[in-house]
Amino acid sequence: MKIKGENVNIKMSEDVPEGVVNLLEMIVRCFDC
Amino acid sequence: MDKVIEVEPVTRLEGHGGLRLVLSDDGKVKDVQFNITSTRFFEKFLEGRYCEHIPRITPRICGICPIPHHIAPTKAVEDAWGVQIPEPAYKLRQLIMNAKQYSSHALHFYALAAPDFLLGPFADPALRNVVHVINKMPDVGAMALKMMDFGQKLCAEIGGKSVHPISAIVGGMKKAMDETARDKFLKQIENQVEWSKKTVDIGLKVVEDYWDVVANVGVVPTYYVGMTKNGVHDIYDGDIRIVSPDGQKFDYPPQKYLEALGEHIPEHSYATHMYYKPAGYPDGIYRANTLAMINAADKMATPLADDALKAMRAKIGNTPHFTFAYHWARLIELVESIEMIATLLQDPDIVNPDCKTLDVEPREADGVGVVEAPRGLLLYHIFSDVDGLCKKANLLVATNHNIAGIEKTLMHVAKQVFEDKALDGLKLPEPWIK
Repeated sequence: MKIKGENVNIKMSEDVPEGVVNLLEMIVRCFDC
Repeated sequence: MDKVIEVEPVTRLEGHGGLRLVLSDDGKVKDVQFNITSTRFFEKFLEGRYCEHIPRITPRICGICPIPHHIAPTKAVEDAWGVQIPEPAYKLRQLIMNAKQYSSHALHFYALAAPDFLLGPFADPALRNVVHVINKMPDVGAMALKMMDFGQKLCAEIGGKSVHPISAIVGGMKKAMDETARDKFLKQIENQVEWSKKTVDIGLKVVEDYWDVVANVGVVPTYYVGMTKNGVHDIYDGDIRIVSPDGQKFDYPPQKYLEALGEHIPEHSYATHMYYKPAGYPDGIYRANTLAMINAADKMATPLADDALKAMRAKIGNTPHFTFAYHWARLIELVESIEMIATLLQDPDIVNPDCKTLDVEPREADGVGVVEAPRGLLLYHIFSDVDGLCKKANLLVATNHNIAGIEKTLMHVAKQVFEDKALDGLKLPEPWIK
């Protein structure tokens, strides 16, 4: 499954909503590393 | 069969990183990895080089944090050779460090973090970016760009170049600011302070709107590593401070860093996982970066920032573990940096040409230089031979300090999301931008 927009290289199961993945990305963004 | 979730790259970061999560058949989180470029070889590049050249080489490590990578090795060589720099050089270095802090924190808040909160974390990813924020909130966008521009131009003025500075030398700074440039930046200070206050107001509104997320997602007790000077928040000079999960503070002079900071090599990466040695690995995994610095500080160095710190502590305590409070802490540091810039620009020493000493002689010794980069503690340990050539170098960069803490936090949140289904009952506000 490919998500259009930011995460062009994302690979994940179709039953994981993009927003859930973004929440995990948001955790990394808190540290900004 | 295990389910693997890979995000490569994680977008809107000032570095490059990838996520890998493994879920088992029954939905349990088996593994979480945060991967970055783990080998850079700079420690080897430095061997055999003149120690005085190191501050010109190491800024290439990072295009976002070249100034800390310029200043920290300069301090390390000065520590090794016993060089005392003049007061104007000390203040010029404080000024350029705070200019970088200001520009970087403004960039992060508006360009990297804000789209998630202003549009909402579940918004269309094609729109969830700074360009859309600028289109929909042009006044805020213009303010953000002017803040970044101010910080970067001040870096360029003092550093000679905005990205790879050349002004710090072993013994001080090559030159002071000239008065015309100083006056040009001083004229902009009033607006910059106002915009910083507005940024804090926006940040506080975001915290209020997203309180359910802030207070419940990613609340992970860990150790923290920061730097303070006599307990006061300081990004240029001071001791390493470790904070335990229950708020105890332990100070280490930079030269004794090996008593405090341990490096664990995980199986999946050459990038070491840092931890607090007395607590061991993995119990002693710490987090660095803005919240760590705020948790380490007894107080901020400037009045508005200290008021902001007190307000934060009144709301979430003295040693908060809220991961999303990293953004709040970043804004407190943003305010401190513009207040520091305002104070330093008015200091006559900033235009004082007596900003270097010629009393610089190589000797066989080692020295440690520590600063706080916008993303965490940055430490250089440099070994000089009698002719001033580098025999060995040890670099502990902010990313090192953060990786283990990031993975620990991600594991916690992944369990919340996939095992506890914590998102189901989470209250999200109406997006500011629809």
